[in-house]
Amino acid sequence: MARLPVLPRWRRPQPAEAGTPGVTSHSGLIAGRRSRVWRPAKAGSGGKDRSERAGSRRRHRGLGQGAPPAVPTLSSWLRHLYALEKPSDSKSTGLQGSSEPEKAICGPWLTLFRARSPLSPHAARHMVSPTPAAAHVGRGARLRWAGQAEEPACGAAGRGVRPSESVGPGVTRYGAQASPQVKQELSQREDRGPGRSSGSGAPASRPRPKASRAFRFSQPSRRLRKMALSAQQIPRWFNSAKLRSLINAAQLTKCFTRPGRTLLHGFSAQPQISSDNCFLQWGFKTYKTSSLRNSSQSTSSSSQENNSTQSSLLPSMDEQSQKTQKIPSFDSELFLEELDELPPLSPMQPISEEEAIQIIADPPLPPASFTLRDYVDHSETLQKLVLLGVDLSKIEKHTEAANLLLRLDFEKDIKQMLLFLKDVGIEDNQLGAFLTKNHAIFSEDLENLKIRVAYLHSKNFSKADVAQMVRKAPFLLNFSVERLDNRLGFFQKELELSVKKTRDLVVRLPRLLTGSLEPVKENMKVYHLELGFKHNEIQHMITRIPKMLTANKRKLTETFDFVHNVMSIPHHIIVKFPQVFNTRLFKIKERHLFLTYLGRAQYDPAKPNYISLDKLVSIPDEIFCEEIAKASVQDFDKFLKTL
Amino acid sequence: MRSAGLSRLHGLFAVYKPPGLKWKHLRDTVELQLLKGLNAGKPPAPKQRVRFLLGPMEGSEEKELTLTATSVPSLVNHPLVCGPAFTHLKVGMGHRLDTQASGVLVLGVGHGCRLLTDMYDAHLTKDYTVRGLLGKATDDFCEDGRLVEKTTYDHVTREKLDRILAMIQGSHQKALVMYSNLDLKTQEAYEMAVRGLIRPMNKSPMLITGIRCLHFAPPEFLLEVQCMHETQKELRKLVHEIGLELKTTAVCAQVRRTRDGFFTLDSALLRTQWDLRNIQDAIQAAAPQVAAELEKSLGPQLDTKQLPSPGWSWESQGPSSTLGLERGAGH
Repeated sequence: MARLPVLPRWRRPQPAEAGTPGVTSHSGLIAGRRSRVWRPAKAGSGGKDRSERAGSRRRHRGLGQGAPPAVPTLSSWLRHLYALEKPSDSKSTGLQGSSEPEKAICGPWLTLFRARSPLSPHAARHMVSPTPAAAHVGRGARLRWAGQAEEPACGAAGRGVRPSESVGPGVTRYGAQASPQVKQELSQREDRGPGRSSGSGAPASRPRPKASRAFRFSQPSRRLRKMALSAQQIPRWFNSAKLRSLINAAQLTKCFTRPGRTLLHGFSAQPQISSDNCFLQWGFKTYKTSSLRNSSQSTSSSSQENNSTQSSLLPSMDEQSQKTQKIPSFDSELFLEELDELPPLSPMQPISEEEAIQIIADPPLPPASFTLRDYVDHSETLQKLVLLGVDLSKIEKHTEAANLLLRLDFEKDIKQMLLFLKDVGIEDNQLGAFLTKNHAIFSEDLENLKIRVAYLHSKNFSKADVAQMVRKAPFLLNFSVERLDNRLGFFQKELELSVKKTRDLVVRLPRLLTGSLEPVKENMKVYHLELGFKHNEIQHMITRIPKMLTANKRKLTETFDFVHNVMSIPHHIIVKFPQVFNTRLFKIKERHLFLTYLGRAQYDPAKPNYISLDKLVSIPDEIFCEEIAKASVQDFDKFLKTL
Repeated sequence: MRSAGLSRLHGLFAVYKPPGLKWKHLRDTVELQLLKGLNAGKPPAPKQRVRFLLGPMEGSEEKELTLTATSVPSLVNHPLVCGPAFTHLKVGMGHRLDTQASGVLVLGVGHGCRLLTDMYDAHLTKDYTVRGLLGKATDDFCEDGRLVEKTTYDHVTREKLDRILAMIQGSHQKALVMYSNLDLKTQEAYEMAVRGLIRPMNKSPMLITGIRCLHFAPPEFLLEVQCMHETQKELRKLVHEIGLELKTTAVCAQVRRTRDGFFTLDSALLRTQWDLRNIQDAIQAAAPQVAAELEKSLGPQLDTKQLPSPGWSWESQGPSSTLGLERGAGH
């Protein structure tokens, strides 16, 4: 059995917390990373080392969720496919392995395709096909026909945008490779009319990306294109008035984890990424059932998240459509009925002025991007975040976080989190900085966060304390109660301070709780054994300067070496002024050498003209020169140039 | 605004490298400080974009829709969306200095990096002050190295030291002439020698054009060295060899560069002055001198046939030229 990769600690699942929904397993649909995820662990290297070494934060998807199962089974895959999200899970990344999938919705589809091909995960993908006509096209064999159906397919803003030309060159380009069956079908489709580029006349659709992208597709993605061609039929049906009424009448489910993505988009797949995912996304995308909406969203998001590590591409996101048209969801029966009845529309059909005006011909959003700049003007969420002060340029470096932000809705998801943070005590002007640092908080469950805050209150941290801690250490609330408890206990045991002093220490430097504990242990040993301080001296120094616990060991020893051996300052005076360990060594050196040159380097309190260490290090240059050294700043500069 | 800051940031300037700082860290620190200064400038005005919005037409019936063009602000160029304006600056380094060595270090920014090559090709001399300590020998010729030998130094006097230094300078002068690949029998060579211009214009081992003792108080002594094509380790080795010549041993306590070509200690920027404003001023202050000196150094090299003009002075070389003349006179 392959070893599960170990997630970084702050992302591990929280089994102890009450009310956590079952976010235990991914389904196997992180397809693009499948090979990486389930590779057997290398001997000797713990999962954590490998993850740390390889920068696994990006690798490990599913923020806050468990590791994916070892082997993707069809059942898990299908469960994911048909999973309907529970309302409480709206925050998580949507890969819900919910145990009560609405299989019934896709039941007819499933049975339809089960009859055709054996149930294997690989073949199952092939089963996914938008139309019965195209079903046999998608089934089984790898189609060698490529064509650039994806681009012109189902994305044209208006009708007649890039009609048959999309198919023509595509066919000719890869025509040699097309199977005769495919060619026949293509010709059939061509006969049905141009305008295959799917006019979804609805304002939501977007024109496809340029044909040049086709050349980067790998072979399996040609299957996608093939199926995409067949899928072009479907969006056109929506143009008909009949379907429009259906859409309006249909229930808009709010159970989608990824709102804002309409059916009528001709979505670019993420063509540059791995073929398997492309395939998945396309196949899922073309389904119009609610479950498929879910699945397509989740798969596309998951696979995008997966592949974004490699290619750091963001999925296309047309959230403008969100405003104009909600995701229709309707029963598969309904869909099946309409599938056969409506004839395809032709771009040559005359349309009224009103309809013509309603065609939106904006330049297309890039289907995948490295930056959030391309989407910020079309996404209200992103705009509101920028106005809050969130630094998107930093968040876009973490692709999964960027993907998440693109999919979240400000009103529904983000607002609640912001209100919660305000309740905790973070001010409006601090929210931006907080969210920039801790963008992962959107994938945390609100209930869990409240539980953690309640825990901190129970430990007698006041509201202001908690606010300060959360502000200074933004990741604090991502830690589970158990973990926080462990860390507080560690500090209490290690430092052997009273409860109140430990609390003050942690409030002053909350990153002690979020950072690694190894340097703290090491520094304690350094102070005790190497530098020779007594335990009560260390406690005193730490309560004065908490930063000493996380200081660099090498710098500590160098500073102490200079202060104790060169400046000849004994331990008990260093203990009185622990801020020497917090200053740069060159500052101490320069000032000491200047005072020696002037003959004023006297650090013994018993003798006259005593200069205390805090005056040596903690005051600015001008005041130091004037009062301590009794020289001018120019003299100090000249002296520095002789060093 | 932004381009104004950047436009003044092309050229050469000198910093004072303190001892204990790696030259790479220094270069990175300077680049970071410059970027900080540049990014602190005013952000650009928000961009506008045109959108065609659907709306009811005024004046006519309610049902008619029309498209109206409106200019809406766009967040595409907002600094929070696209990040800081400047993320990288080309900062080049002239002749390097060791970690333990200190002194004048020439850096180039932007187009000034090109001038660094010119400075290198000019093969100008550099000034060092070297502090030596008699009585010890270590493995890396530094004071804090592993001790190899301890000796007495009572017999060492100033005269002995000066004699040794003169001998060193004489031998290096011969090497200067040899490595400069000049045919001494020609008139051009004579004229160059008169002006003290004889020096190798391509690679050569370390050559000392001048060396003298500034201060002698055993066990300490202070030397001033003018040299070219040197490394600081070779200078420390020089101190060690001087000790051996004096029939004792010596280690080097401090190597400090006081002049690099035409950049001196006065124009070198201290650590507290490594920010955008000071560096821009330093570049502007040094620019005319840099241009003049480089033209002088490299001009005649381009045109080999033409004799150097008689009215041409070489004061920029300073002590090395006078020493060179003295050498010429001495021999």
